[in-house]
Amino acid sequence: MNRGASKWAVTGWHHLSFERPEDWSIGAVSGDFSTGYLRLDDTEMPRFELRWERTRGRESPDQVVARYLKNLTGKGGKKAPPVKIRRDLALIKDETVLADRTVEGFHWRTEGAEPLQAYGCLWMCEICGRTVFAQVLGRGGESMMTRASRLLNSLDDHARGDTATWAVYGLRIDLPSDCVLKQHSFMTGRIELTFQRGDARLELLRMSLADMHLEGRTFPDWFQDTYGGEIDVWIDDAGLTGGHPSIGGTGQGVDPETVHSRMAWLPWRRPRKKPLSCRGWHCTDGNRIYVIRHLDESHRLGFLDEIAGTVVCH
Amino acid sequence: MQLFRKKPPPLPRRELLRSKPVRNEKLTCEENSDGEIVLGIPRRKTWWINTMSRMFYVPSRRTVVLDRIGSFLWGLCDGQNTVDHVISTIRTEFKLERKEAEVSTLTYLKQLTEKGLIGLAVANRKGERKA
Repeated sequence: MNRGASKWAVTGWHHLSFERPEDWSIGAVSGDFSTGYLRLDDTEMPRFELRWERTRGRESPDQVVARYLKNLTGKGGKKAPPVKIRRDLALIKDETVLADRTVEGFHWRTEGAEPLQAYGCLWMCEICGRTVFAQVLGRGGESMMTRASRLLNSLDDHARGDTATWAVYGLRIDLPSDCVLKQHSFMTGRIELTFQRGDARLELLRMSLADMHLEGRTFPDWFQDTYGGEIDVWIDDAGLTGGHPSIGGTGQGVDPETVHSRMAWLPWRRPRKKPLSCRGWHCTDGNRIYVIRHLDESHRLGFLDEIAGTVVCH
Repeated sequence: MQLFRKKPPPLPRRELLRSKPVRNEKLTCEENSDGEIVLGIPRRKTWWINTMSRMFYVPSRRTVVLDRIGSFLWGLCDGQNTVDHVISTIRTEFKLERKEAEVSTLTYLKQLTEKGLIGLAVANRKGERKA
């Protein structure tokens, strides 16, 4: 269980980024940039909930919070122990953050056999046009104000500058803020993130248990065996990425958007190929393999190098 | 017969993490040349299999070879380590994220339990242990 003294790490998802204790990991994630949900769990229970959606209507934050708390108190029915609520808490103190947001802070605590409590806030951001609801959960007797305050104060809901941070399960990358997450896949030992930027497609793959994937081969051999079919020009020494020697290449890759399952035999429904730039490396410290593929109208190795340089792999 | 039989409630998460995996004592366990664990599972002696064995060849035991991670995990299932400790050890040994290690370990332990290769010793409310 976290007591507030452990290390902190960054989580970034759909331009929402925040610091959280290192032992909290994503337990649930859904939605897209405009509407979504993210939950972090520790080994025992859900610890942090984040909801966001496009701001619609003229409801003020305190009205939305009032509705949420009314639902919360009404859930247990008449026999349920009462929920103690405090409103108008100044949980976020950073003036620069408060400048473009209307924030409403709250705290609730349940009683009974297994009491729970939460510090949370809701705000409407004028810049990204989203309403964000965040709450840090804990057990009834737990001292969690410091932790909740640090987390909520670090929470940012839009990209600052030209780049946005994406950070999940120990993988962190900074991408241009116009990159939109198209697909994601979180499997045990395999994380895939696919981004769209105009017509360009950027794929990031991280595989854990690298030594089992390599099966005694060197990383360049594995990379050539796996991606050799689509790479024409190899770059054996593509520089250091995260302190590890990387390998890359350019070639022609099939654009998955043009792969049809029905009537694929028709000439105009055949998959189209696009210029592909690829980069991969083996993080020996974390025993992981990283591969970045970029499909665009032309080979853009410079862009790929720039992106690969932002990856924090261990 | 399982018909109309009420399913036992699932083990609460906290208790699951505190439980201790114990190997089935009826199994034979050897290590092959690759360092992998080879389990010998004796044939069940039901009337149906006994009848079949008179007509066909039915081996007296079936073998299961665990892979590298499985063998490592099997070594930890000694009745002393809790599931939480097993997860932490797997995480450290194979450099996995906590969630990755947890999901894969719990799935694997579930499979081993369903096949009857291990059991989970759970401390009951009075502090006693039941397997």
